[in-house]
Amino acid sequence: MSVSPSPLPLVFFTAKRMLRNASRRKLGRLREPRYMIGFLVGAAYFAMLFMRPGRAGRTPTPPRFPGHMNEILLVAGAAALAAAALLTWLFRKGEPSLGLSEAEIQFLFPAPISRRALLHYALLKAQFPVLLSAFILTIVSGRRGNGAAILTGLGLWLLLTAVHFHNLALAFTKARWNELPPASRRATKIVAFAVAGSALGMLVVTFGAGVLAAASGPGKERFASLGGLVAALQSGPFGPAPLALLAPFRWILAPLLAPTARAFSLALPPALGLVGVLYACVALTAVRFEEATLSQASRRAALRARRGAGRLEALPSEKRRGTVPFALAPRGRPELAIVWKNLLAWNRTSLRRQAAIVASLAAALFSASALLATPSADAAAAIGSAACLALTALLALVTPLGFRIDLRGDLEYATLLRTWPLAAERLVLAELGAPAAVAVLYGWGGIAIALAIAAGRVVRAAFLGAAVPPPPASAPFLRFEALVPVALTVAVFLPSLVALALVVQNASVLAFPAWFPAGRKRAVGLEQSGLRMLSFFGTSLVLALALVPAALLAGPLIFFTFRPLGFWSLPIAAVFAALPVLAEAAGGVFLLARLFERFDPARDLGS
Amino acid sequence: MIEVEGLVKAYQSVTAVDGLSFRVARGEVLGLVGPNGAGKTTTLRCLAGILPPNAGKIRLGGFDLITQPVESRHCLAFMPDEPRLFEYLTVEDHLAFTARMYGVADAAARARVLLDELELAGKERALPAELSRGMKQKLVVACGLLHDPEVLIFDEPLTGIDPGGIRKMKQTIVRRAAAGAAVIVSSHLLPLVEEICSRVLVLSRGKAVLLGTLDEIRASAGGDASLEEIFLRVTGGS
Repeated sequence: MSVSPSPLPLVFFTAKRMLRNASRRKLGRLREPRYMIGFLVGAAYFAMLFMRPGRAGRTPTPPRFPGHMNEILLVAGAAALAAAALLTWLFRKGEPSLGLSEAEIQFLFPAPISRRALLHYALLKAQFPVLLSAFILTIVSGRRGNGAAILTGLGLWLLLTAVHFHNLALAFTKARWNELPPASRRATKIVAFAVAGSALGMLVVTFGAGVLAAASGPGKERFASLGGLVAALQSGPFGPAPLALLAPFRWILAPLLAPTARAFSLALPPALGLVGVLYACVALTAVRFEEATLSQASRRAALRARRGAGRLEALPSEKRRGTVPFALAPRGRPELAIVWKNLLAWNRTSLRRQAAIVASLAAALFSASALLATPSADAAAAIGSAACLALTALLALVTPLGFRIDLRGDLEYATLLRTWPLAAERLVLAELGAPAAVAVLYGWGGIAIALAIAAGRVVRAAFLGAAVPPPPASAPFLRFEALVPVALTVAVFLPSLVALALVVQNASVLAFPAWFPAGRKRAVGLEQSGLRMLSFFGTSLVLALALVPAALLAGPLIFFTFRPLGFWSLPIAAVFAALPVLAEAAGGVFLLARLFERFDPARDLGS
Repeated sequence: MIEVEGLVKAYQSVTAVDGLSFRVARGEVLGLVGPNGAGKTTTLRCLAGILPPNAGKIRLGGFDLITQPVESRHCLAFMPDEPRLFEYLTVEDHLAFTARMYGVADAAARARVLLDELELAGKERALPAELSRGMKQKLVVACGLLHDPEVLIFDEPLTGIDPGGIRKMKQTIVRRAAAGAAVIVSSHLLPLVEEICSRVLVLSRGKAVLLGTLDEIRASAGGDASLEEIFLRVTGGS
């Protein structure tokens, strides 16, 4: 007779192999000089961040709470946990899924292992994210009270494990209810709903009354009376019942909040006992989990595929599917088709409609600005205009980073792009068109709104006889006469800046596709967060260097023309400053075209 | 017309295609067969301009793929084995996009005919996520045929298509060839190749091991062996 294998070696085998293969793949990339350079730059950046003088050797001071505050934290935390648990019992559907992947289902479900072993495999596998979360939270939160970090980590692990076991037990129990005959099922659900609802209601009423009582004292007494919260809770309308209800939640939180190692050791047995009980609930509940596990795996795979394509939102409605940014005639420059397609990837809405919304907003703000007669209206309008301009400038910098509706998104389709009848330069230029259009048009919209707000006050002064007050001496640009040239400066310089930022962002993906993955997705994980920081750092550095010629041109121009022309020297300087930036962006497009020609889908995408 | 001369494509130490030469005339359907790893997909990707060859010449519709890439791609439609569709474009968006990309004047009328022919009528507003694999494949074919290309390349065109769709797809391929297109069909389905291809090219380890009409191939094999038997013999299969 064959014996079902233990799940422990299976879990460790898959985890070890996955880790080993992923590490080998990543290290293998470093054989290429470009990745090695990128790696060294990244390592130097992080070393600079974490090992700079002043940080090294500095011991974080653990927060210290008075004894009664620890008790309050424990009670409040237990109450929050209890409320969350009761809400899940009230509203969560029972889907007894083990959280396995499609591959695990394919290999393990038909394998000669018992259902119990399969369940243990799933429970053990779930420990990896639990341990990782506990580790990260420990790093983030640091030490608590007088306890060591390891005790915080252990407390977090116990809490997260209990939450995982509880949720699984809940799902299994509810699935068992669903297997009951209809009459019994209905009766069971009604009783359970009534019990959970009553318990939640009791908690809310007791805590409401207790907090009100504790906080009713005036001034300093109010804080002092918080220490009596527990007593207030015990003397509430339901007596000691609410605190008894909180007991298991206090047990599981107590190790995490233990201020000393001794308190931790005292809190550990009840917490471990609770975890054991929850485990027993999961392990002893006989329920069919196969269908739910398969269904969840399919859903996760579909979600991953959607994330891979960069879309997390729901599919557009039937009505919206007829909406396009603009009508695309079948004849004309093919580049426009790419811009049209990428705008659709961003948002299924008409450009004309968006322009109408911006115009309506500008008109409404102009009217409000002209009609407001309160004393603070002038200041509000001036600050509003300046804020709008600042926001516009920020948008210009952030938009190219965030919107991957260009080559970064389309490189996933490199095998398709290569078959399009377009020269590489034209294709690259077209690919940059959509995010550039979004950033520039929205930027200009922001400028129009800023001017509309300021224009409202001027019109009011001209036609209603009210005087436009002088601006504060510290902010001369808040004058309307200054706002127009400043706005014009932003409007003139914006397109070249956006173009340059887009070129830099796309170049990083084309040159280092394994480090900055193609596709509309924004990958997650510690490594990816680091890479994004590196990308931001690199983009900022390249942009700063690229703006040097513009600054060298514009600086002297402003210096010599500001006295005779005032703020109007700025837009003139912006025109001259934009020229070298545009030239650099054009050079960048040429470089991107060469990088695209060298881009090998088989090598760089594995497709 | 497709002309390939001395095509070589290597990946680091592996030579996927090694000195391949062949021609496909107008109205001809060439069946490209070979065992896994023989270099079929690499050959097709080189012909489609996706992968730059290391050596050799490729001419599509009279244009050199390396020196006249835009003109040669205008003549071409490549239908890959795995349909690549833009997840955020509907069926009609895909057709509108393709029409503009290739400058198809009567795109609306052509699209209507193709949607009917490929049984996609009524799915105009559907997104790829809502289409079966077979339907996705059909949409790729509809987009490929929209600009009436002179050169058609199909990589495993029948994957995921139901029996009715298979019959229609075969008819579509044969009809396009009859209308004057030069067609290459790569497939592991040897009966399909026997049924619709006028000539067959058998690849093994990146090299052509057989090229000719079915009759010529049978004659060279010394009898009336089936294509499957000949294929297994020349590729070293059991």
